[in-house]
Parts: sequence; structure tokens; C-alpha cells
Amino acid sequence: MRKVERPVWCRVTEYVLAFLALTIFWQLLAWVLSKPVLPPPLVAIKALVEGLSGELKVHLMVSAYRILASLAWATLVAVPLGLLIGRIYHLDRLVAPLIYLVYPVPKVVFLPVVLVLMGLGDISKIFLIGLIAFFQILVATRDAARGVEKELVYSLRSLGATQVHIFRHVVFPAALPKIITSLRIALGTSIAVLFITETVATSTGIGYYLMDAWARVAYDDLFAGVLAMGLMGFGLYLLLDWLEKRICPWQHL
Amino acid sequence: MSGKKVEVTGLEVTYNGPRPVTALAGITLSLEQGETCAIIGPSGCGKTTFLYVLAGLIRPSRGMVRIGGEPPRPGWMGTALILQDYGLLPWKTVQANAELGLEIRGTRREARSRIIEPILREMGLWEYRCSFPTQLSGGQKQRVAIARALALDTDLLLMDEPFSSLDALTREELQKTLLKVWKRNGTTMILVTHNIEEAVFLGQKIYVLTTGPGRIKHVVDNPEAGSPDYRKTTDFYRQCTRVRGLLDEVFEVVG
Ligand SMILES: Nc1ncnc2c1ncn2[C@@H]1O[C@H](COP(=O)(O)OP(=O)(O)OP(=O)(O)O)[C@@H](O)[C@H]1O
Ligand SMILES: [Mg+2]
Repeated sequence: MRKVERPVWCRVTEYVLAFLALTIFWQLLAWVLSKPVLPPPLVAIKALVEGLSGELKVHLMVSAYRILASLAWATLVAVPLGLLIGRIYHLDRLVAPLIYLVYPVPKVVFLPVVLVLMGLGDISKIFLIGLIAFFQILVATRDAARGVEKELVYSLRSLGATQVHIFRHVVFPAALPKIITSLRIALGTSIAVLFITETVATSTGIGYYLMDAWARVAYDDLFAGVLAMGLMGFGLYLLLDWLEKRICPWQHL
Repeated sequence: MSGKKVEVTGLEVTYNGPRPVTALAGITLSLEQGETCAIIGPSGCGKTTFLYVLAGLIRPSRGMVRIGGEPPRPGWMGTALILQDYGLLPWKTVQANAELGLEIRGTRREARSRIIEPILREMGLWEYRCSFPTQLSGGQKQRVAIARALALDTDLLLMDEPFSSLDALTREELQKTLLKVWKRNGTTMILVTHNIEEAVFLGQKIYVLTTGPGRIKHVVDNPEAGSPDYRKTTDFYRQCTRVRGLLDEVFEVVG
């Protein structure tokens, strides 16, 4: 359970090394293939740098906004609901069949319906991406809340705790690390879904940028977009890591 | 009111479920304010269940339970329950854990600190007040649990195998700490233990329980308990031998 905390420079070095390894591999592959469809990394990085001072930056911001807004509403709804379902047996009996029926359905298939009902703007995308994250966070939160040790609850109740105290001091903090883990997983899924929603009926976002570059046969731009998307995901993961260290310090002793 | 601190008559506890389990049956005992008792018996004889009932966490299926003349309820001002391993919240620091009872009862932050500081100092935990439970040794963790109980002006201390995971020296040291508190505050103590010496050292009465369902099989009067030097006397060894004999008897029946 215990993690050894390494100094920051050490972790930065690891990331830099990993990045270099990937770049070298890419370079080799580009040489071997030597086709325009796989430009060498330097070309893509150059396109990225240029793009980031122009159009690409806007698309990236829009996408990041969509992801964050989706995860935000999903978390705000799924966490309280998951905690309640996990602790209130009768509520779980009521809701569990619903969850299990809906959870495995790939929600992306509703994209056309959502587009018709909620329009082509951000709302429909944020709704759909958030919906998928919602179920992932909900199930994880419920299971975490359910798994809270009975003895911890007893010990608190013996001190005179009300249900509210038990949620605040036991159930919520016990579930927090698992909620953040589910957010990490949901983040990965969200980026994939984001791409899909941005390829349909829109002219903003990194997904659109990629499809557009593809249509223009601008492979350097295409890879600049791939890099940008990767960087966005990486940045969001770092944000989650930072958040976890801030709010779950006992996990990092 | 009879003046007894704890009064239990004909207590029976049955856990409902697909196959109901009667954990305790026909338990009758009483303690004066300031008296101590130890409960010892085979695993599954209902010791933890008994403490849960006294703490008001589980309702008796039958019989009467009175704490200071009233039915127990959780959070009852004077009652504190110390569990073996689970009492501390991993996400709270030592100080926050120790203050938890006060916080739940609505004591303000400054008042809490004022109450808890001398207790943490007495328990040798003051330097560790910002540590988290995982950073503590078993003995330190146990002291945090005791500190939390002491902060509440406890007059009935219920302990479920509080020292079982500790080495002999740490255990004896904590037993002495407990005795000091008991002498000073006149706390009524009920101690569940697997350890015969601990039962004899701390319990003025020793209840030997048997399983299926849990019943009181023997009661040993042990009035010398609670004197710090008791351990060095021959009486102490005689009592230990006696309790061991009674336990062996119970285990023979249980198999
Ligand atoms: N929540 C529960 N539901 C059903 N049965 C239970 C429950 N808790 C305890 N029991 C049963 O009640 C009996 C007494 O359990 P209890 O935990 O009180 O024993 P114990 O004496 O504390 O044992 P140990 O020494 O192992 O801690 C056991 O047979 C146990 O299986
Ligand atoms: Mg037990």
C-alpha cells in the first residue's frame, strides 16, 4: 500500500526519458515507412508549436472545456448518489437493476438522439461524455461506500454520530481515493468519446481539427493534433494526481 | 434507581438473517460505579456483541439492560467504546481522531484543543498529533483510541480486546496507564480479552463465557485487581491458574 515518494526532479526525468523513447521509436518508424502519412516527430512538433499559437489552441481549449464540464457534472451528480445508494440498502435494491441494465450499453450509440434533442452545441457533447463518466463514477462510488468497514461506523456511532456525521467523517473520505481512481478511468473514456462527438456536426474541438487535417491530407497537422490531444490528456491526469495528493494526504505517507 | 452503573438481566441477542444466530442468552450481571470486570471466552461466544449492546449499537432481543438506570443509547454521554483495530479513521490525524468525539458533540475547535492537549501529552502522543494512524505503532494507535475516550469524560469504558495486537511490554505499560486513569476518574470498565493475565490484572470480576449461544459459565471474584503490584504476588498466579482451568473446561465443552 505504501508508496515511496520520489523527488519531483526524479519524476520529471522519468517523463522526459519516456517522451524521448517514444520520439525515437516514432522517428525510426517514420524512416522505415518513409511515407507522408507518418511524418517524423520533428515535423509534427513544429506543426504543433505553430498550431498552438493559432487555430489549434482554440480547438484544444474548447475540447478541454468540454471534458472538464462533462467530468464536473458527472462527479457532482454521481458521487452523492453513489454514496447514498451504497449506504441505503433499500435505495440500492431499487436502483441497482436500473444501473445494471443501462451501464453496459455503450452510450455513444445515443449520439444521434442526443444531437437531435439537445442541439449541435456544447450541451449535447457535455451531456453524452458526462453520461458515460457518470456511470463509471457512480458504480465505483457505490461500491466504495458499501465497502466501508462496519466497525468504523460502529465506532463513530458509539461517539454519538448521526447519519450526517457518518457520511462526512467515514463514508465520504473512505470512498474518496476510489472516486478519484474512477475519475482517472472516466477521463480516458471521456477523451475517446469526446473525439467521436467532435467528429460529427461540429467545427470546433480537437476531434474536428483531426478530421479536418485528415480531409486536407495535412498529415503534419494531423499529428500535431494527436500530440495536442495526448498532451491535454496528460495534463488532465497530472491535475488529478495533484488533486489526489491535496485531498487524500493519508494515501501518500 | 438501584445505584448500579451497569445492570443486565436475562439478556438475549439474536442476529436475524436467513439462519438466525443467537449470540448471547441469559446474561445477567451488574457493576457498581468504578468497578471493573473482564470478559473472557472462546471466539464467537458473543463478547463483541455484548459490548455493542452496552454501547447501544445493537438492541437486545430479550432481557433488560440499564446503564446508570437507563436503556443504553449510542453516544450516551458517559459511555465510550474502544475497538480493537478499527476505531481510528485513517484520513484523520492523531489529534483529529482524538477530538472526534468532542467534534461530534459539537465542541468548538479551540475548546477541543484545550481539552485534548493535556490528554495527548499524558499519553505521550503530543509530538505525534499531526501524524496519521498508519504512521504510528500499534501501541500508539491504541493510546489514541484511549485518548479519544478520555476526552469525553467517560464514566463507562467498554474495551474490545484493546491490547491484543501489542507485545507484552507495551501491553503492560498501557494496562498501567489504564489503571492510572481508572484510579483517578473512578471509571467503570468492561474489558473483553483473550489474555488470562490481562483479565486477572484488570478485572475485579472475571466472567468466563461459553459459546452456542454465549452464556456466563463462571464468575471469578478477583478483588485484588487494579493494584499496580498485583502481578508480582502469588495470589495473581493462583488466580491465573484458576481462570485457565475454567477456560480449559469451557473449551473442552466447545471442542
Ligand atoms: N452481524 C452479524 N450477523 C449475524 N451473526 C453475527 C453478526 N455478528 C456476529 N454474529 C455471530 O454472533 C456470534 C458472536 O459474535 P461476536 O462477534 O460477538 O463474538 P466474539 O466473542 O466477539 O468473538 P471473537 O472473540 O472472535 O471476537 C458469532 O457466532 C457470530 O457469528
Ligand atoms: Mg469480538
